[in-house]
Amino acid sequence: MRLCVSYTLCVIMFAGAYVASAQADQEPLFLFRGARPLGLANAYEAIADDISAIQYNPAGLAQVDETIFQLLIIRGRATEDFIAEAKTIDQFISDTIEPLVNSADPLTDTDPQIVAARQRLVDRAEQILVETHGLDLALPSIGLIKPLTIADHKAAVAISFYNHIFANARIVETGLAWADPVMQMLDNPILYRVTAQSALATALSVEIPVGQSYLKAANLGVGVRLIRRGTFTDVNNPFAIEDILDTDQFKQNYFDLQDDDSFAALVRKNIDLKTGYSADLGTLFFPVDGLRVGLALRNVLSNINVEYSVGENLITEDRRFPPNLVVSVAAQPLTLLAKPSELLDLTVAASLDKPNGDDRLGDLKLNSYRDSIHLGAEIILTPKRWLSLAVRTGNNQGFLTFGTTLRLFRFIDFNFGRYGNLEADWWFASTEISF
Amino acid sequence: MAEDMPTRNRTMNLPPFRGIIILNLYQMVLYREIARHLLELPEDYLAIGKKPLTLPEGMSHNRQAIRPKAVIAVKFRDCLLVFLVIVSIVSTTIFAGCSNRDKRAESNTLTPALQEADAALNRAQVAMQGAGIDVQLSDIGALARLETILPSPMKLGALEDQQVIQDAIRAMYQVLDAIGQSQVARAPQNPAQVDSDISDSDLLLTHIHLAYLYVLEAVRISTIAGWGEDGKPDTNDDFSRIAFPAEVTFEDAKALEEIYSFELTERIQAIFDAIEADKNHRKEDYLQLFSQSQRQAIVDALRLLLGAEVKVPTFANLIGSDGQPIIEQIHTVDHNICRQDALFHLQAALNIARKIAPDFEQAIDEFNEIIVEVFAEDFFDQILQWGFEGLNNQEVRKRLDELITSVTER
Repeated sequence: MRLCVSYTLCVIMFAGAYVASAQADQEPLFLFRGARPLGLANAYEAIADDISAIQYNPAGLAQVDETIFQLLIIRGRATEDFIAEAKTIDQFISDTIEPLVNSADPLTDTDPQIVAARQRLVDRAEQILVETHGLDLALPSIGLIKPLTIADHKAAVAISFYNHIFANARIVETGLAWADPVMQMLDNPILYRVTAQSALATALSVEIPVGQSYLKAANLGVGVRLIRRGTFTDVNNPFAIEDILDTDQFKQNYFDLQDDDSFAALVRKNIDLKTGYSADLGTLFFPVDGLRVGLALRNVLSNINVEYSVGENLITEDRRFPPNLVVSVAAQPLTLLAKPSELLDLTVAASLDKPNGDDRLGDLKLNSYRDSIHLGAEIILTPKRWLSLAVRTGNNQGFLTFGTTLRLFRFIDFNFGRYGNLEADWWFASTEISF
Repeated sequence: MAEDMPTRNRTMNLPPFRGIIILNLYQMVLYREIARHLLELPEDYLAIGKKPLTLPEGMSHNRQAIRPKAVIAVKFRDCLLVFLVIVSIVSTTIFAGCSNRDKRAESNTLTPALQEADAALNRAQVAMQGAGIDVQLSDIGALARLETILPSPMKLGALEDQQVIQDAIRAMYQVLDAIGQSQVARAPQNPAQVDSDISDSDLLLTHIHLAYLYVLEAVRISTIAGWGEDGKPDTNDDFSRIAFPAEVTFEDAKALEEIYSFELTERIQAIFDAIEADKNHRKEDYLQLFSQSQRQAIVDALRLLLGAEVKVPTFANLIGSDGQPIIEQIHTVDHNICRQDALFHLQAALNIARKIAPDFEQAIDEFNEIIVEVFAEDFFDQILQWGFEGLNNQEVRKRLDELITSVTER
């Protein structure tokens, strides 16, 4: 009991660093989010009973009773805006671009079709101004949880290695607010970021029996991840639409391609390789059967070395990942009612954290109390059978999430769902093997 | 947005109100069951209307028999129950009012100076929109048909609020004041002297709008003066008009030269021609054909367009068309509002445009030549021949020359 209290106090003390941390010195963590946490709107720190516990709350690992191996074959995630643009791009080219290109005078042609095409072109540009385009592709990744015993205490150790490529682009409204959208867009910076990231994460969790009427047990956990990241971005030196008007200067400033260079060579030359680490602490309390309270402090210690150039100056900085203190509660109503069922498993959960979160979305906050709240609910039909179906829904920072998992033969999972966060609405799908 | 463009709702569809009520009713039933189970009550204990809300027989006795730890556990479960109810209500409420990314407060990224400039710009744009003289570039094709962008002189003359253009000019200068453009902000009170991170394009657009507003104001006062004593267009006493071709394109240089150019009516032109045909004519012969307000409009318009200090010399023995003697007139433009002139802001805008897009130099040069031709050769030179006196002719010509030679020299 004393150990649990000390450990929890330790977590809270570290949270002081989180309060004092300046957002400008932070790099996004790009936390690897599995299909289940995404469907549950990231209200996962108090659930944390599978491989995702390594990322969300290492203390949850000790709940696992048997060795689990997971192979994530592939997972894709794309913003709704990106999907919508991709779906309509062929039509846009045939309806808008081709008529304009084929017109002898696309600017002044009074043919109704050309006039309509010009209008569609501006409409499309205005639409893109408010869109966020993002793509996240997870490459084959593995994870392993091994239960063990430490000094007669139930424990578990886990390791995971994941890779993913994350790309996003958006145009940020800035400067004076001109009523005319064409005038408004001229000085808007275009921010893009392509990141390829590999991370090796390991975590350890121990269960401490307490045996009090108000607290049956507490899990303590610690996790460490090492990150290798390559980034191609203009976030530190973005270009605006007005910069493109001077094409020569634009090329020289932002895309200095030599005659014999390909675009791939340019990317290789300008990619920033970074190495960093971060450490997480977590606790999980079990007051009664069917109720869990989680406390996770992610990135309590972290560092990543960042190099970027502004003009001809090369700037090197040590940055942190955003420290994120999360308080979470999860309940299993059927267990609370002492009516567990083998046919149905029901879980509801809620988490509270900072809008900046793990991925540095603080710039996108809506100044709403909802920015900090994550709510999720999950129903699993016929869990632990040869065929099971999980349905999840949630509210992530005020945005709807839902997802489903079809589990076949107890080892193949097909996941599909929608996820919304401060940045955008996403659709995701993944396939994994776990046993 | 065109009808065939796919429309996307950027926020989640809110659940219908009925759904929320049903969900809450479901939660009430669920928690009644939880409470019944936790307190080990009979199934119909909380069934209101079926049995009185009294403790079942033996309940109080059983409670006394519960050990202290168990009592704590029961109370804890009660608290848990309350907590779950609160969480559910909050969650349901949140679902009913989901976040909207479109409401993100982007203005937080502006510095205080830019916020002040933004507010001033908003005032200017509201004034211009209210009068229907705002510039809309949303249809790219409109760039090639200037008559769809520029307001007609008739519209300007008939503006309900004749002060609206000056209001917009004042607000535009407040934009420049806020961002510390002291070289143009000759405001009498405390022009800001702060470094500003305003973008080139914002500064360019501000200067273009100011040049545009100066031109509109010059056109407005000239149009009204040209309507004659009755103050109505298209009547017999009309003196002059401001040309506005039916179609004006950048490519059509002739049409571009004619837009907003000063023209005498046919009746007046015939009188001017007759005077010109007289070899012994004097300059003041022309001045006699103008009324005092028409002369004033020309003096003021040239001040607004070129910064020209033009005056009407005194001819006390001569009478104008309004029966009033011709006495000295100088411009009456309010320096506190109209601190510069269209030429100044055009030059400033072109300097910035050249910096942003030097590839457009040739097009800029051609445009400038037309401006000089319309403003100087067709109007300024003409009125000097009609007896008006220019007090800073050299300066004006120098500035006009700079407008077109600065590009050529590069």
